[in-house]
Amino acid sequence: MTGKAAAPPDRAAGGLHPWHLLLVGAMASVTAGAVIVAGSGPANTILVAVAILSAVLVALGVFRTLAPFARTDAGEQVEMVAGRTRSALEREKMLVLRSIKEAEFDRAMKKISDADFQEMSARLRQRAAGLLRQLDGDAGYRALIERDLAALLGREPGQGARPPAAPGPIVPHATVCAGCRTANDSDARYCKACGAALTGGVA
Amino acid sequence: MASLGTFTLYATFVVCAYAIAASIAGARRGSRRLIESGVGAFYLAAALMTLGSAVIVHAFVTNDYSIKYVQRYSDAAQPVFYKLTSYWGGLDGSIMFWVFLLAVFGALAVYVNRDRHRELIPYVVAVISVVQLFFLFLMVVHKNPFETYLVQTPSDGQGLNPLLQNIYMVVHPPSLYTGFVGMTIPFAFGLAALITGHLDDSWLRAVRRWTMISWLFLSLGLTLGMIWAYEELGWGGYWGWDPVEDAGLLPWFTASAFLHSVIVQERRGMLKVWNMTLVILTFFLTIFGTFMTRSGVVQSVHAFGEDRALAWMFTVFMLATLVVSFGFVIYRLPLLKPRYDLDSWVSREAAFVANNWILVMSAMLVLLGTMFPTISEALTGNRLTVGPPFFTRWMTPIGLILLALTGIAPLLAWRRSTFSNLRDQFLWPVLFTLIVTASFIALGVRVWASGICFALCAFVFATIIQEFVRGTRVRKDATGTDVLTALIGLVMRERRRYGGYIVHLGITLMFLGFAGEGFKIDRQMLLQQGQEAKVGHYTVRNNGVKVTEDAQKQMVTGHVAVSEDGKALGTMYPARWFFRKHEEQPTTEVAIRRTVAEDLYLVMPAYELKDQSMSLQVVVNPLVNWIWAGFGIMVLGTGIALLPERAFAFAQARVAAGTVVTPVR
Repeated sequence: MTGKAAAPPDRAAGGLHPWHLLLVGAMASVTAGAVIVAGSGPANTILVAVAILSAVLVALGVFRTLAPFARTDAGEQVEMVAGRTRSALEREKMLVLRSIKEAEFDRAMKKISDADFQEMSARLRQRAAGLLRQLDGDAGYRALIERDLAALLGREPGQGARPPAAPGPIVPHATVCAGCRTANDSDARYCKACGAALTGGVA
Repeated sequence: MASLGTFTLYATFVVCAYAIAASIAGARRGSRRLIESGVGAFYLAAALMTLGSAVIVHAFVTNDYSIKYVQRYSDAAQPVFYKLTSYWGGLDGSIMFWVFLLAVFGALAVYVNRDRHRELIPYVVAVISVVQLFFLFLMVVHKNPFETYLVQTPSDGQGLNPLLQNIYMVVHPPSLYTGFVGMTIPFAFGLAALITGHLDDSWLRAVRRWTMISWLFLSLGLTLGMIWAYEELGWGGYWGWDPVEDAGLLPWFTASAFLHSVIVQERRGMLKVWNMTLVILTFFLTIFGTFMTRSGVVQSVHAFGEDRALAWMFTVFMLATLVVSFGFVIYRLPLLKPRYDLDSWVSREAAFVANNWILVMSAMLVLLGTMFPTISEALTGNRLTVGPPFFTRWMTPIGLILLALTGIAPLLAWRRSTFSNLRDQFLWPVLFTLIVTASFIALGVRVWASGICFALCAFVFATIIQEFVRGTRVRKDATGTDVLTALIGLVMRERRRYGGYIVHLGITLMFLGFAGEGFKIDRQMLLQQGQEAKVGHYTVRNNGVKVTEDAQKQMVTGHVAVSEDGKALGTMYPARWFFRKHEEQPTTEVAIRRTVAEDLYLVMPAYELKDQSMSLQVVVNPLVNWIWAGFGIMVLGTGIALLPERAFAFAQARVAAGTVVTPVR
């Protein structure tokens, strides 16, 4: 809520800023107020100080209200939708991953049966895989980062960058380890619990 | 000073109007300058209200009796502490205090969320400003707390109502108001989401914490009100279903429902319309509660008195709120479709739905009971009151069902539960409940409502313990740490769930306390000097009545010697205090002896100084202190649920080497 936020970070290190003056002014007026009402009891003095400080806050508020109009920098148009779909996807991915965790925990707590768990887990994993593919696919962060990197290094965009992996076929069921019966991701090659090589599952 | 105060109110009014115009125009045109200016104006309104509050408190402390409001609610003899709290002791000041809290709370909420929910912020600012504008309008045209006496200034004030000169009354209204105004924040975010059409659950994430904080303050306010009624009003109980108490309880019900159903929307993408409805309803009920206490439509021990004009203004505002917000809900219905449907009725989401229905039903029932006198007067011309028996009859079974659900729901899994799971989950809790019930029956407990309540409390207690024990065991095996680290890790990984369980534990303790009501002993008697009487296993003896006084009041104190089963416990002092300017309205000073098992509660309704006789009301209140203890545990649980992400990281990070973890968050 202070004018400090408006100052560019590189100038913040030293020098005099408008908000310094405001601070000094506030201190001075509180001191003056305290001197004027001196001898009228502590409650009165404190309240006068509080009133003066809130008056300073009012001044700050006026500044905050008017300052935006004085600015000449760009950014007149607000980007209202930027990143919206992506963040929604990421949110959904997090939700699905958390649901998987939740299901595992519920099974360990013996709240759901193994059959239900297998079915649910497979469905959730499939959903998660689909979401991950969607996120990795069409021009996501990776492409953006690579383009920026390329620009920084002075290279042509795309040069040296690997194209995103083509989406694989959708596998409807999870891979169950033959040794320990743990449900693994459909594209897993080794069991995440016992480390045994997975044979069945992937058609 | 008074003109400075009035000026701040006018200025805030103008600034709020500007904030609305600038933010809406900014959002429509996509102008960042206008939006930022609107937000700035919003902060400015908060600063102005702070200044206005400082001015009025200053007027109270310096005894500026030229201001009518100060003259009416304060006097020179009052301690400084109560002069400060006189700010919200009357109608005009309480409205101003309300706006002040809303402005500060709103500024805080906008400041915290300024970067995260860019697209919502301008409308959030606009909605909160509209609410502020309404209350400011009330003050500007109707109830200006800075109004002055035009001619003669009185030399002294009339003094604050002595009933309000109590430490609980100092904290109770601010916390209740904070809870009330806090509910405006979720409403503002919800409405902003409806207006902009950004109806995924990002707005829910923004309001979850604010709802929880407001809910906590509301609970605190209600509990303090209960303690105040118990200690100050002196009728032996803590909850009398008074309309003003109900006013605080109504939004508490719907907010509790929202806190539960929000989980279902986050996890399963269901109940979107319902959540929006609950947010709107909660906000509406806070305004409605304010309306009830301030317009005189209900009669109550602490309503502010009748005021037709105010009643009309409130009615118009409430209707507009309902029409606008539900209009937007209907307009946005296509965007509020659920992502999944209910898989099975034996699932946690179904239990949540049931819990929601019961909570909302309770709210509607209490609302009906509270408004019944007013409605009947409007329809038939006779004011028919329903009174506490109505509430007790209906709310007891509803409360018991709710308590049962508190135990059952955590044992169910999301989506669906099978029979063998149910058996495994319910075995121990049900066994424990049966043992407790059998032992209560053997002990001769024959009050059915309290008996069932005890049994259900045992059940809920057992399920919560089981959840913690099993969860800790699972986590211990999964991470290979010691029990304590596993327990902390478990709670910290799912703060809201386990914090919620602790809140449930608190609620269970409170229910234990409520059930104690079934074994209450309440006797009225007339005791001559030296006379003894036996109540329960206590014996009371009248040792005479003495009169003392200080600067503010005259105190008549009864000296009552108390013994339990022949063992002397000391003297208790029930009293009547006559405040100088309110002598027709003496306060009842209760004497309470608190123990874990029960309270001995003495009131002296009448006395005779000539022969030193007194009439004495002796109440034995079993288990009352469990209510206050339960509230403490509830605060603890809410605190855990509110903890920031990174607290107790050590217990969360400890994962056995070589374990494969799915990166979540």
